[in-house]
Amino acid sequence: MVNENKENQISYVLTKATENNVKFIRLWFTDIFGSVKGFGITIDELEKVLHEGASFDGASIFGSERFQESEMIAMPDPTTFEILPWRPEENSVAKITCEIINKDGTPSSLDSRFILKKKLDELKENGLNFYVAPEIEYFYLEDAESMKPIDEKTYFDQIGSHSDLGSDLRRKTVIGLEKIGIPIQKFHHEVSPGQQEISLRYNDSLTMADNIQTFKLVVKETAMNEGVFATFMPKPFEEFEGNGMHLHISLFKAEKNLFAHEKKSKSGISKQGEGFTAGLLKHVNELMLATNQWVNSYKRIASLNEAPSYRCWSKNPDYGNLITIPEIRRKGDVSSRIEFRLPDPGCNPYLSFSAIITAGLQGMQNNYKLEPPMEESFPSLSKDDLVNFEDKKRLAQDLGTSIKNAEEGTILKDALGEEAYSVFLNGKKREWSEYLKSVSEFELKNWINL
Amino acid sequence: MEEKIIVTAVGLSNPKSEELSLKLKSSDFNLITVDNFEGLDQEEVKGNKQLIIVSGEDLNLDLFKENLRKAEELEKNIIALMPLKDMDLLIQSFSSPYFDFCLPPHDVSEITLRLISAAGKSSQEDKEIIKIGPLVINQESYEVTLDEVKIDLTFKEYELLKHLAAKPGRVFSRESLLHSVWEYDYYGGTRTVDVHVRRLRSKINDIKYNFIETVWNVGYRFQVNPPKI
Repeated sequence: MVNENKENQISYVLTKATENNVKFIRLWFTDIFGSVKGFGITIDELEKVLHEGASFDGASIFGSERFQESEMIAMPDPTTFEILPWRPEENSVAKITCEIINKDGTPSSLDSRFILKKKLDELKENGLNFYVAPEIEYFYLEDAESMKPIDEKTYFDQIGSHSDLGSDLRRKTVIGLEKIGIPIQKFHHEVSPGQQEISLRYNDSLTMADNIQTFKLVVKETAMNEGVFATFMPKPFEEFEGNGMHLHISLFKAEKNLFAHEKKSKSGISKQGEGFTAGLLKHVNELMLATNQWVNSYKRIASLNEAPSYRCWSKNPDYGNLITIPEIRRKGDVSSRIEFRLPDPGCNPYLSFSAIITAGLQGMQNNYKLEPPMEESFPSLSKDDLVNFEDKKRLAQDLGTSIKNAEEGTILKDALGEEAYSVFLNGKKREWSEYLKSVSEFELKNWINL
Repeated sequence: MEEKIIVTAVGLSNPKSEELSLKLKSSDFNLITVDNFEGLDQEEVKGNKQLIIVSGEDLNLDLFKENLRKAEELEKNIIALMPLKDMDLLIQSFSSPYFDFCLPPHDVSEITLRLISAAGKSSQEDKEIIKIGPLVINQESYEVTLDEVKIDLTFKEYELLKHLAAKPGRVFSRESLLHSVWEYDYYGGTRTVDVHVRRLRSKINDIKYNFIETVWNVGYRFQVNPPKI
């Protein structure tokens, strides 16, 4: 049954490839640190590769942690075949997302997709489905060297003081995304100059992780075609807001939203939803290394602007809060969800989703109690309260602390699996120790006269 | 010349089988006789142009019923040669859309006529084109056109559209769509169906045509007669 289905999918892909004059196909996969990697094949190879996969040097999935070559097989998932919208129509180019398998046919434990699928299998056993809708932020810059944003607009601006290149680009990007099969919910100019936000319509978490990876490439390539540079770096400017990737998450059992409250609920969500939220709040320090994995990620967290900085939740999308529970008026509403505001678009979405599920489920299955919401906004807190908050609730402000937190807990190891966890952790430790040796502009500015 | 339609006759013995074989010689049918289901080439029967005769002439009733049941599992057109005139035997089988029968004495001309009729039905079932108003789905080339303009669909969108459009008027629950279109290799749930229906609707200009109707608290159905614009 499944094989017959796969044959149908393959023949659909071959028909569509021929029909659209596809000449090259890029085989994509994600390395352990979230970069999209891949290699190309020509149309003549496609049928064979769809059936048997293509061998390549699997060391590339280790990202920066690769040491020696090892032959692995990239096995395309035919349902992920799409024509790349920014490429020519003649001799066009398509992409297909792959799973990485070892030569003996077993899945590679370092394949990001496999890591998430394994976690989703646990959910599936309980009949649960995890849905995600991300809001992804990024900057359009004139180029990577000048670091000059392409406009001076601000939040929700429709007409800017300079050119309208940004909104043109955003429109082209959205059309490209829709064409490649990624539905968009809304898009607007963000707070800072050149900063954009695009919200993807919810989807199951595996499809969404695939989509986020494709999304980043579509944004970058579309910009590049217009001579503009797009960056998802978590905090490229000291003076402007960082790039976040807020995730709206919900958990379903068949057609029932488990986060939707049936009875009166103070928090606005069900007991199960409260448990999940409490799980995230309790274990966030351990999982943060996945959702905020770079030295630079912590500059966003440390900046105390719009980014979440404290382990608390609120009903309003207030600054500083880790989680927002939006007010849902109707009981049993399918749109009940929580908004997890921590991740940045530099994360590996497969690993991040797996970590979020692991922490949330711990809370849900062990009936963690959800603390009361943070009702005051942070700027209005008294000095004493703020100090108290700093002590108890502050999230890690640097990568080193986050590595230590991850090692002290069990969540990340459970979410990634032993082997991937150790490769990931080694990479992060290397990054941190290299960073510690670096000399920054800040230091030069302040102490060159010593 | 068209491919011949293979008729597999289970339990049909001489002289009737020879008589039928002779009768079918100059037609589009190619008769194969086997003693029982073990003799039937399962792989062969899976092909498109296949009809099955289950003969009850020389069999006891239980064996005949058993053969009939096995034949139905193959989902091919069946002609049952009844051992008796007792119609009650067939009550179960009448719910199957693939079913026809001959009462004794089994006249070879009658069997032939029924074969021709069944072949006609099965060729309709295999029809490659689904056409509903301005929407045409070609199942051979996977091409979907709306008002003669080609529409790009992903594999899942295509499967979903085909599934709904093949049975206009029938209501499909999200759960059943999930099972038949996505099968088991999938991590989404019933909400996934909604995501795909939404995308499909925008691609087939559903705001204008209303092909797909949401049936509240149940699921979706394809309109039998989408309103003409």
